Amino acid sequence: MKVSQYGVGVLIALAALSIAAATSSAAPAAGTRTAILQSYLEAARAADAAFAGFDAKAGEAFFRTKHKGGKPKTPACMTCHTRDPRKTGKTRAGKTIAPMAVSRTAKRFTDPKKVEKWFRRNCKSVLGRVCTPREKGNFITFMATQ
Amino acid sequence: MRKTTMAVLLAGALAGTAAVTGILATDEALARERHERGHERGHEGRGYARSTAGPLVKKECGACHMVYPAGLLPARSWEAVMAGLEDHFGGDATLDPKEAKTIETYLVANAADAGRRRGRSRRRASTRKPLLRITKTRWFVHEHRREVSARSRKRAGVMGNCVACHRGAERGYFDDD
Repeated sequence: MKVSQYGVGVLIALAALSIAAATSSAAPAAGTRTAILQSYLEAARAADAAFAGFDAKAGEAFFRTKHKGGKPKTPACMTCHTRDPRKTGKTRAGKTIAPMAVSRTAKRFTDPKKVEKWFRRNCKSVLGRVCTPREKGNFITFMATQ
Repeated sequence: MRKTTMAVLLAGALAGTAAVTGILATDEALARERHERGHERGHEGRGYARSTAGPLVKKECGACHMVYPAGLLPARSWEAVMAGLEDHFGGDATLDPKEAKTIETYLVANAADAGRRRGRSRRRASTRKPLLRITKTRWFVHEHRREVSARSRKRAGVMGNCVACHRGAERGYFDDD
């Protein structure tokens, strides 16, 4: 029957399209994160010529520290993102936050505007100041290993 | 006492009880009906507040909390919220200035008192600081007085987590609890 012939063709086309979409969406995500890290690297180097490179362990320590100088309700990144970057976090208003871990949320740290917006807000809330490019880079590097 | 007399007295007592119960029930029914009519007419008109949260409002405001329908606060409150984003209920919620303007325009246009700002309300413009917290508005307090069990409260976490009990809250629908 004509209908079933077309149906099979449509299914095959859809399958091919979805495979193409899946593979194409994976590559740009990783590429953009690299670009973001690169811009932080250059900024860190501009601030300190001796800067060697980002450090995932430093990023982890930064993530787990109870910082002073921020708002009392948010002393640490962990306050909302929980101890385990692979778990979903929760905002103070009760909304879930997708895991910070890149292995769980593939699009993490791929949108430069979004990354900058959240660093701006959360560093102010948690640390009471702007985060340095080095801190940002270390943080992203750590999350990329999780 | 004669049987018929007893029967008449008993019947009378039963009829009397029925009459009193009937009157009391009607009173309660009337009161309840009046209250429900109040809901329909508008004191819960906010329940169906226009909340076609544009994609921007949903993305920015909905990142940390449910998208509160604009009709839950008057325009002055929304203006105050947007002016104080650096310390938005204890956190920094600052936005790109253009996006902030877009969001503020939307909120004010759809506020609880939208369309009524000219005229009456201007004459009695309040000098008090505008209320920012929806859960402290008189309407909210009235609606939730003696309505929230301790278990529900615990599950929701904060009173501002409307969707915990009202699934349609972001669409402005609160009658489903």
